[in-house]
Amino acid sequence: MNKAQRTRKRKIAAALMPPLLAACALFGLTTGSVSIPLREIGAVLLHGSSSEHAVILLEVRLPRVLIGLLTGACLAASGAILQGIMRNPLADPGIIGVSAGGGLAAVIALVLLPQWSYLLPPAAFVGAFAAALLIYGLSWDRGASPVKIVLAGVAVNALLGAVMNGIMVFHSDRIQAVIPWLSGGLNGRSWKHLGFMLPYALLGLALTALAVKPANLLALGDQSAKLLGQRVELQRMLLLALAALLAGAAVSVAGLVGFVGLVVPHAVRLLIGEDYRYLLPVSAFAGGALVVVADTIARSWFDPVELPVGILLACVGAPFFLYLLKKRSHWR
Amino acid sequence: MTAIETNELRLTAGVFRLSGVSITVPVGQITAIVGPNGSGKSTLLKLIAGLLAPGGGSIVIHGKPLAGYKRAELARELSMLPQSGETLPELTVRELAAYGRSPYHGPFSRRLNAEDEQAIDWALERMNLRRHEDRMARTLSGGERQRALIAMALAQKTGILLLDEPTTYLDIAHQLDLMRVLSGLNREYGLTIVMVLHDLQQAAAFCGHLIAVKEGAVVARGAPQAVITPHFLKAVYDIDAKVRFDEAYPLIIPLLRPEL
Repeated sequence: MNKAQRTRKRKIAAALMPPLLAACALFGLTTGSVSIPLREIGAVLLHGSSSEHAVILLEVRLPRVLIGLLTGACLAASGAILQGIMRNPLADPGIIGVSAGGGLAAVIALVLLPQWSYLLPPAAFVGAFAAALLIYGLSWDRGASPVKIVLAGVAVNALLGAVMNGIMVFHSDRIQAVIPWLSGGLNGRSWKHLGFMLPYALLGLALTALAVKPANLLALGDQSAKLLGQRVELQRMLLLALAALLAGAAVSVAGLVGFVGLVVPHAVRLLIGEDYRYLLPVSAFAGGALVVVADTIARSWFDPVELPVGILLACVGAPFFLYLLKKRSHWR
Repeated sequence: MTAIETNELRLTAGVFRLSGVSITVPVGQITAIVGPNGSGKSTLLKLIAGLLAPGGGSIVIHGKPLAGYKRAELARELSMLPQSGETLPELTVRELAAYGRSPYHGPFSRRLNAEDEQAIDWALERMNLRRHEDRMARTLSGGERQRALIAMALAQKTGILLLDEPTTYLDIAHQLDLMRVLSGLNREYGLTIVMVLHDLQQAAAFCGHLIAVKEGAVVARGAPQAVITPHFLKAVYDIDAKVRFDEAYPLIIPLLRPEL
């Protein structure tokens, strides 16, 4: 890719993202066990209506689509940041245990403090950040080696999963609330859930603007970034916190949705390069679009069964992960 | 006047030790650090650049203790070309050089001002990269890549430039090219240059000051013509050789020991 090609691709991507997102959102609004034509959506959104379709649209599909958008955007941005700071293309909040940390904290909150459900996002953030710190600390040896991060992540992931299952076994009477959430889906998510995650998601996404420069400099390598006057350890810690905030916001409502943070930034990198000025916003848009489309497919194609979107995404994402592993075997 | 002064610098990392290294690097000169592989040359450079923390002793840069510098402040006094290794991100040569302006900006601001642009132009100009400035850095040859990274360091507009084996992976034409560019910078701008070299001839021809390190300790220092002697070669590299100077270039002729 030369400079002219890169500029053209960036322009195309930037111009395409908003319409793509809008198209995906409309696909999500129109499709389902009852299809609602576009025309009617326009009428309902503009003039209001109390028809059955309007209720489905406003009470079920619209919040769900919005949650899908935010979830995808947060996970993709989180993945893009994690890949940058860990200098590891395999980093994804789902794979390296950040989501699991958030998940465990959320399960604890759901099971032990069910009446305080608005505490889910902060709890998930704390859990995700703690897991991220743990993984980072375990793999730290004068710099966090990519391979160690993944290995530590796998181990932490397994441990957190075990603790999560343990809690559910001991509190089997209360897991009804947890099960649908765990499988990583948007079934039954409503305006209430959107309200939980919205402030955290928006804050996280807004802060990604500040992550651009440090992330770009870290991409030169720790040594070079230090020589350019950057406080590498501090910046990495702050970026880690941001990635945890984003992953936590997503996990707190959508549960354990994996691979979005892996697949999306990768695809975007291939298309427009690694500059975080473009990588972060385009990944966020594309992640939102992907989750909405995947969720719509997952809930409509297998009618009457609603497949949790996490399952569908894993079916696409896991082979992609393996493909990456195979294609680039030279990672240190 | 001294640009860099180290005092009884110590470091233990695994089996490797740096034991009480005291050196002074004169301002406005080119200093070469030579020595066998694994002698601690690169380690010494990394300590001076603040990339490693010493186990003891002190480092003074331009009259101020290294520990007293903030990272960004240090990056305005001292820049460094690390040993090649890291793969470059997908950037143009100019964008890479522009990163050299980071120490002059906060962690978040991204706008380059006129002074920045001027420094970047100058750095690219000096490294003969103006016509390549819009090329992607990854497509550069080894020699061009090295020059692009040096341009980034130059854009930092520091008084001291450290280079860790800048010529090791270059062919002789590119080596000489680079050495000429560096001595030009030293002559015209009084840039203090410290480089780790393996090539004693280049060290002698281009550097006014030479420091030899062996097993984590300084074993010789001074003007290259005075320092590079048969005794020196025996002491530092454990080779028996004759040395003759042809102008500034030492001819090192090994005395081959008969095979046993």
